[in-house]
Amino acid sequence: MPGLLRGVARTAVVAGTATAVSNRVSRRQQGRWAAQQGPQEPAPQPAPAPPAEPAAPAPPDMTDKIEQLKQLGDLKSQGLLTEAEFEDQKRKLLAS
Amino acid sequence: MGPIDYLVVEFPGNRMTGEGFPLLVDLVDRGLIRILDLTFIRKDADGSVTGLEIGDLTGDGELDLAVFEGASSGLLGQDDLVEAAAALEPGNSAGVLIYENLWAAPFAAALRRGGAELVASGRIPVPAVLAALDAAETAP
Repeated sequence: MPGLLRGVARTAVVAGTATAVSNRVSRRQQGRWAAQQGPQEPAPQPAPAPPAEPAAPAPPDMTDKIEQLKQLGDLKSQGLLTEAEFEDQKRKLLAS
Repeated sequence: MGPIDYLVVEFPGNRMTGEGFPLLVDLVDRGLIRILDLTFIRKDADGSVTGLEIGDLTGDGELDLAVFEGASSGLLGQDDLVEAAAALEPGNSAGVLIYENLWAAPFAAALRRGGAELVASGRIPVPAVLAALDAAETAP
């Protein structure tokens, strides 16, 4: 099978962000081109990062979680879960 | 058809947080790229290269790559994977992605219809752009 990848070499890591580049280039442009919008880069996470708060839009399973939280609340109010057990389950659910 | 690129993304110490994967799916869903092949590989300490199944990568219970089940097309042969692994440190894993830049296809097609021809393309490293900016800003 003929190969697709040729001469693969490790790319040098670029320190810092390219945001400064975009800004410096924009300042040298005119008209609408001086105001080109790039995607907003999230702040760099320290690695290894703890699971970050999901950015909007909310993940599709959020409705599931809310449903499960309601069920947990019902179980607690029916006396089937102690306050501590409820808190514990809730923490696990929200962290999942 | 748009231009086709490849990426080799290394996960040091085989640690995949999976943070980037939903964004990759988003690029596909938005019609910006089409994934032509996606394969995961590991480069062992002795330099040998093994292909990883999607299922092998979900062992920590946190990372769910099931969304990529079926994305592998076999376009990348073993020689390609060995070639891709040339960029890896031994002991690390990587995803090798071949994708079509769908966003560029209409532009490319329009150029072709007008008789224009792509004669060169490439990627410019950010440090080179910074150096050019420095030069432009100090020019009289």
